[in-house]
Amino acid sequence: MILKFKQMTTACTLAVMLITSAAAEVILTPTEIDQTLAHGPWPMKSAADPSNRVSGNPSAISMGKDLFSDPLLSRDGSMSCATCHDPKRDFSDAEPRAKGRILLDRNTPSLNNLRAHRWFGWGGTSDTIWGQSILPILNPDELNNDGENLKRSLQSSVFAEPYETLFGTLADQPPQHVLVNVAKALGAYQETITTGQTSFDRFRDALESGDMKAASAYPEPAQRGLQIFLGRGRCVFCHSGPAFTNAEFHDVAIPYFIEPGRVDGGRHAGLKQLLNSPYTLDGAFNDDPKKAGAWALRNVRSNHANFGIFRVPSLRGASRTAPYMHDGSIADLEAVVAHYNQINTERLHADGEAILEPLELNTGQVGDLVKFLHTLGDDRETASTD
Amino acid sequence: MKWIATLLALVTSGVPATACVKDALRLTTKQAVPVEIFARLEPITVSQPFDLTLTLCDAPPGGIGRIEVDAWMPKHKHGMNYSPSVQQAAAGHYDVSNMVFHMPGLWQLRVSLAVEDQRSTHLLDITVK
Repeated sequence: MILKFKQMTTACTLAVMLITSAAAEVILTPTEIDQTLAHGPWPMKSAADPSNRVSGNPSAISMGKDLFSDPLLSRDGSMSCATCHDPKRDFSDAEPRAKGRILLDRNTPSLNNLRAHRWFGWGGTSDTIWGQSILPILNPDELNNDGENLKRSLQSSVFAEPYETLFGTLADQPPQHVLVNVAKALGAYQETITTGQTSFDRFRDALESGDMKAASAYPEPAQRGLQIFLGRGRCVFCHSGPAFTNAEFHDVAIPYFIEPGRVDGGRHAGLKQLLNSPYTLDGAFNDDPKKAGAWALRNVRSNHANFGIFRVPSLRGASRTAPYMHDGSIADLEAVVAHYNQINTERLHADGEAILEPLELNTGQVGDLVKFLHTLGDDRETASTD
Repeated sequence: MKWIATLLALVTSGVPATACVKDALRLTTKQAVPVEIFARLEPITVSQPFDLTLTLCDAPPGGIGRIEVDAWMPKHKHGMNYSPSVQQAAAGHYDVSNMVFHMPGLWQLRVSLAVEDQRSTHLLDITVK
């Protein structure tokens, strides 16, 4: 209750400041300001991942970064993680659907800000970054490798020495352990891929500190777009918090038919695979003796509505990672807003989210919402890859 | 200003207890049952697990046959994506963990009781910002 009182007091203070100093520049209501503050601060503080004993280790990050772009990870030496997750494209590839050894079923998700998520991949097939990193290595349609071949490749590569410094003698380790250790180095690197402060963050921080002059530098169209995002657009229900994602899964009326007769099971399929995986927070490869994060896997519900739903992406940096949706079927941000503007509710699960309905925004409002979304990606950084 | 980063639960119904517990929130029920339930909530952050404690007042000497805890978003027509864990801490006291409200808005905490042959559902509205 004390916190609630402080919250109200600050909101009132901000409201007074709005009236007295910058009413013409900052158009948000006190309630909207309060909502806006919940989308920060950014970047988020993050501790080392206890499930990964080399998380935060500079040597592991360096090795993971080098491995990420090295075709050694693929059986035939033809592909690397970076083939699809291009560091120059915010770790995505600008293609609707990823091009592995064949055309894959889903869009290549950006790897920005992975630490904001609890589940990884469009269907949440993993509950750790390192666990997710194992999947493309083993997938016949991607890197098409296995533990034994990977171990042989490592032993005769420049990675043997840094590997053994981090994880011990390669020759003594079972191939499956080598696979997991490589994934943990990859995970340590991917944890460092974050987006920077944007004009939205400067606006948000100025509101928090009561600096209305600084806040007023945030363009009014973006403020109007933010108001739509928080209110009429109902975007904030899923795109919540500092990373603009609630880290869960939802149905937004994107078809889950990949082609006639073949469907993408989304979260349903992802969870089924995860529950049968040895590479989880509840498994033997978790380095955290307390298995603190395993509660989610132990308690997650296999809802009927999980079929054909997909993870909510972070909106940070999203303006740089078109096309959109799990199947890359929407070309740009304008088209994303158009999708929600005229969403076909008959495509939604009968027992799914009940608040989605066509937004019916006019052209100006669509433009404002898009301008706001661009302010979540104007940091011009792709973190640690330079 | 750190409070701003933490989205707090503002309880919009339920009244402070004056009977067997203090500083807790009373759940409402439409059933005519002698048992009253009071909840203490941790601050709630959207999509993050939180704990709560339940105290049952005027429970019969025979104890509670069954207690189930869940939550629902009435306007959104969906519940939580995780099953909460309920553990009895002492007679009439329960610790509930791994509650996750994954959206801001109005949630309805639901506690279902079976006491002897009588079943009842107790509700508490919680608005998450």
